[in-house]
Amino acid sequence: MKKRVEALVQALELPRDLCLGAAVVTSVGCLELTIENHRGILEYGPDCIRILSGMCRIRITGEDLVISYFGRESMKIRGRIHEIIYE
Amino acid sequence: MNRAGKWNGTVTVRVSGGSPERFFNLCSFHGISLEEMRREEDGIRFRMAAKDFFAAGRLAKKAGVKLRIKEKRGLPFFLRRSRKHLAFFLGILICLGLLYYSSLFIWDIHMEGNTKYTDSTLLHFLEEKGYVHGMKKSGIVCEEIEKDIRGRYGDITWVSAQISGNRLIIRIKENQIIDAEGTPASDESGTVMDLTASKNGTVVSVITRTGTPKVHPGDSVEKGQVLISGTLEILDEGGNLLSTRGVRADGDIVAATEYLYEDVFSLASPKKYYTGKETKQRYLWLFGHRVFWPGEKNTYACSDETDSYEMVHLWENFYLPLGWGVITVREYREAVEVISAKEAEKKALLRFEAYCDQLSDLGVTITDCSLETFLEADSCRAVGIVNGEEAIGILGGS
Repeated sequence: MKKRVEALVQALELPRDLCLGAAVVTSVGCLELTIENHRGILEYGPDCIRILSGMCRIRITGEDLVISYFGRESMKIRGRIHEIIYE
Repeated sequence: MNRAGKWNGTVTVRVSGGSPERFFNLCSFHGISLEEMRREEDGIRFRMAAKDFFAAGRLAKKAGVKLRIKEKRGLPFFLRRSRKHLAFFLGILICLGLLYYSSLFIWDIHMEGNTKYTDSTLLHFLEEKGYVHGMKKSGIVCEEIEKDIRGRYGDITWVSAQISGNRLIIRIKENQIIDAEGTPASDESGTVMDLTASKNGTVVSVITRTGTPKVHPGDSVEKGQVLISGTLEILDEGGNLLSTRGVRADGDIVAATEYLYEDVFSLASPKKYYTGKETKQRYLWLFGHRVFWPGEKNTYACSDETDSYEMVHLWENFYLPLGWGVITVREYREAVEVISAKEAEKKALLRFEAYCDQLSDLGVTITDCSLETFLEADSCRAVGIVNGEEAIGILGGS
């Protein structure tokens, strides 16, 4: 079912972040990361943050990670980011 | 939250125990924004708007976490902390109120461009007209001031009065060259006007712009004689008069003129001898009144006073009704000084030079001059002749 929806969205060229709930991740170098369309925090630590999005989970690893803004639609992470992993 | 946070207040909270992540998600779901989340040894510290704290407390219970306020920032908390210093804030409010109140008045009358008339002369005149330091700004009509000054002082050609902040700035332009005697105001009505001689002389050059010239270089003219006629004669090819037309004569008639100079002054004149004694009277200037510092008073029989003062101002044009000044009083004795013959000649020459300068200012080009001085028993008489060239044409009715 999910694959069919994905195929339909692709065929109709609809925005995936709206239709599939995919997160929009914007990175400014390795110092700042903005995630829009998130579904919440799964885990928060200074070295690792796990975020839930509509399509997958996002793991961010790094050093001195601070969530400088956490709102309903978006969040901003600051620190020295090493990896962004989609699980 | 940064700017709004300063006004509405923010709290820094530490969350511990239970599941902080669940608490954060609940906050986000209920529209509560969190900032600067940072993990510390005893929990996670974050900042939130003060108004959201009670809502967050209910969510904390649901998530099984404990919230503890670590820091309060912003205006509401500052006011709460400062409620014991009410008098201080009341003082600030009263001060602001006084500032506003004082801004409704004129505390400085500033003159610009006056050289002939001193500030104090003009201020005295304005005082007579009711414009004084400390009067309400709303009672000032700048056009009236301009009109009054122009009406009182004929040689002030342009006046501009402007209220800037709580200063009344009066800009003046004085007529630097005194008009030739009896020059009538320009006539724009189009009537026939001749150019006549303002004094006796011998014509040196004639330049006619409008009208018919009646004199030639070398002619001797007398005061009142027509130099350029305002009547234009229109002739036909045969030289017969067809018609006449009245115009306003215009041109430059330069004539050689002669001035007889005579000056008599006394050899004895009163002179001030400063004794070297002086007193300083310090004062505070408050709301237009001087409050003198107790101290030395002017007890001298003859004295000169020099007043220098400073006014407190916040900006260039925002003067406060507060200032200070010093009046320096210098004692002098009057004595009659009799000058020697040599000095009298020197003085006569200086006075003659001043007269020549005055003529130059009136537009006379001096070509030749001579002076003779005669010493009498108690006076000195100087007699001289000044030859010059000047424009002698003035407009007069036909």
